[in-house]
Amino acid sequence: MIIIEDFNIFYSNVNISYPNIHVKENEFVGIYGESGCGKTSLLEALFGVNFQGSLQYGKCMINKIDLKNLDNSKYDFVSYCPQFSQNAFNPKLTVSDHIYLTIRGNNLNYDIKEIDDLMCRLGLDSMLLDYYPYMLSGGQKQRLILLLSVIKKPKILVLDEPSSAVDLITLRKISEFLVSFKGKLTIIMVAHQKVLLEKVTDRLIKIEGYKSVRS
Amino acid sequence: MKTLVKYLIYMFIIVILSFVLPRLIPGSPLFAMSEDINAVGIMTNEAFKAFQEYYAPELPFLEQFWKYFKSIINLDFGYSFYYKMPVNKLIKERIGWTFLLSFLSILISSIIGIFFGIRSGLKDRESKFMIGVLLSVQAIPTFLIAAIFQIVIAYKLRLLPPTGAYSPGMYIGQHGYFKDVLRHILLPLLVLTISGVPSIYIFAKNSTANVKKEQFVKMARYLNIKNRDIYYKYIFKNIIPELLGRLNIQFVLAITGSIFVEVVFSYPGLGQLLRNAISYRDYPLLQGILLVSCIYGLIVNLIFELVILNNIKRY
Amino acid sequence: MLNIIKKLNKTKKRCLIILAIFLLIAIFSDLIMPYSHEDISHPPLLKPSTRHFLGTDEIGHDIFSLLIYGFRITIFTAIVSGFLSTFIGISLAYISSYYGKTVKTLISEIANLFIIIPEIVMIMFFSSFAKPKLIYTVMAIVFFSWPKVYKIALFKIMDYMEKNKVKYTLLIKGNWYDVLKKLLPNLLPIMSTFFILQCNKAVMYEASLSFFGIGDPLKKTWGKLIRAALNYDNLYYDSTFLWYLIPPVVCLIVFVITLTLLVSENDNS
Repeated sequence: MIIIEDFNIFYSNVNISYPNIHVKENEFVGIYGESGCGKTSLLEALFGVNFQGSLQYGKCMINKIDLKNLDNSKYDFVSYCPQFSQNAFNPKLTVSDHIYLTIRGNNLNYDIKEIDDLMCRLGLDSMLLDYYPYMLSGGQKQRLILLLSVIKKPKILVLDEPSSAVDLITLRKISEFLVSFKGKLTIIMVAHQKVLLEKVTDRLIKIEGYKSVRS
Repeated sequence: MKTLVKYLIYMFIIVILSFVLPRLIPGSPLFAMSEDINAVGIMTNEAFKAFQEYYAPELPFLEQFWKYFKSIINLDFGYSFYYKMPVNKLIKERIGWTFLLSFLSILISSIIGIFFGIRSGLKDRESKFMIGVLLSVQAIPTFLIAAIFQIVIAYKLRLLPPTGAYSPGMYIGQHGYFKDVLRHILLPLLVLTISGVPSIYIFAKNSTANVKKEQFVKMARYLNIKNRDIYYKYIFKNIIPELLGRLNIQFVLAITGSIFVEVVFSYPGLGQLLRNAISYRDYPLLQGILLVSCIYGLIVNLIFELVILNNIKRY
Repeated sequence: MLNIIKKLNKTKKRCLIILAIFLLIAIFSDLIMPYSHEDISHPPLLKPSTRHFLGTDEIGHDIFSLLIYGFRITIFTAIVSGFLSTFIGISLAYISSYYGKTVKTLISEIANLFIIIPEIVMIMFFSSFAKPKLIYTVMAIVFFSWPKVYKIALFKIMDYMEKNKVKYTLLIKGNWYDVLKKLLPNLLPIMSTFFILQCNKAVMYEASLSFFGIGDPLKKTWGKLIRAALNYDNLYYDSTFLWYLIPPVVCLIVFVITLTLLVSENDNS
């Protein structure tokens, strides 16, 4: 599903080379490494918008399409949850507005039962649907971002540090939720705690020592 | 409500200022009272009598103020020297044209400025030349733009009438009246709109560019939300508070701009009135116009403050 | 200061050059004017010639001399008004932030009021009451334009005062002079920006006032010259406007645009 070989990222003062990665369809892969080792950069380069650095690779295919041929239409089948989901909500819209817009944007059907089911599995009360973002806690926001990413029925789900700002109970709910999707879609999760990843993923990839500073 | 009280106090302060300051400014006829023949000599006997009656400079200060205050409350702004009519009647006749001109120009320049400003803000590239041009246009005083347009379009090219709001002899209800009014308002409206668009455009553009950088807009992309929804629900909805603030300023600027444009085009609004009041040192008229503009400014501000407060409350 | 100039982009450098030329003309206007600006001995309404570069007006002034004199008086008015309103605005902002509470509320409310009401109308009102002398025009302009400077300066000063350096000075009971010394390096850039903005505004106000016939008739700024041109009846019907109206209009527009561009902030994409 996702193949990268001889992948390098260049910023103005730093080079990062990555190990070759092959992610099979419907695999749940965890990527870990120390802070600042380049995990987020990799995700941004592959799945983000407006990537600031320059790339050089031998091979890079996402869903059998070369990276340079992908534009914003990749979000038809990719769901990317960047770090710091605290600011990922439009302050002027309610939670249900967000859900509705996401469903509409992906040309899907609005199924209230599906939404309720997801909310329940994430441990979210249905009254949150009418809340505005400022009324939500960090943990609730994190879970809602997960809900939004999943409700658009992606083929690939990419998560950058979903665990960083939440308490242990929420963390558990998130883990259980993700595990329930195992085998149903390709999931890539980045975190810097190996322990969490070991529990939920099929396999782990370590990013370490690939960064070098240019003079 | 607290805000209302605040504005009432503002109004009161303005009334006091408009009473006190003319009496403090050296050179004003009220300053030297009736002893300074030079200052008083500008007016005719008739005017002087009206002046005495309205301002009553011989009464003690407090009594003067009380008399003045009572008149203001009743919207009696005195008697115009030049026009020989009550000031409030004069203003009532003309203010309609001023409002017509300025509100139309606000409407049009806002629509153009906001629409194109947002479009420009969404782009990643920026045309520095365009912005330079707009800034330059904004910098030119409105009356100059008006004078230039009048000379070129009305006098040299004879495309549109150079003065007035309607052709002499036309009246409401007459066949062709609206078309006539439209022809006459086109040029002043064009000038005012050109004056007003740059600042709204640049403001909308910058606000849009700022919102675009926000994380939640990026997230909307990741969620594959439709572009149209992003434009309206994400970007537009989030720049509204700032835009409202800007519109507030525009409403007041439009009136002042309109005054200049009216003078150039001899448009029968407050502008002409003001110009004549100044030329003929028609103090009651001057004061009336001043107070009316201040009241207008306060009301506009009050409305916007309440609207913005309401808008911000929820978030 | 040379460092600052070097960092400006091309457009701004060009604006600076134009402004410098304007300033030079203003300073040396006496030497450049072929005749005195008050000299009305010339035959009226002459077309441009080698003796009169821009012809003469209906009273008998040499228009070119009037224009050159306009450099001096317009720029002078702009600089004085700009400086005074900036100075007052920033001083009051500093006083408000130093003394805080009642002083700040009082001055801020007054400033708010002045910002709400249309300034130009107020300026016209008060200028027309006063004797027609330049100093009163300047005073009127300054009196109503300091609030905008005040508001922004107050915001910046309060913001900066929150940072540790100055708070510390306040804590150790520094008096207003010490605090000011610490504040000054940060204030200087915005002071210069304000100064230019206010000069710009002052020119526009003065031109607008002249347009309405307010102001000192002896001190002929470009605004007054434009007014005189617009008053001339035949302006629109022959080509007089080319040398009577256009020159001061061009000078005014160039001056105002260069000032605007000099302080405009363009974000690079």
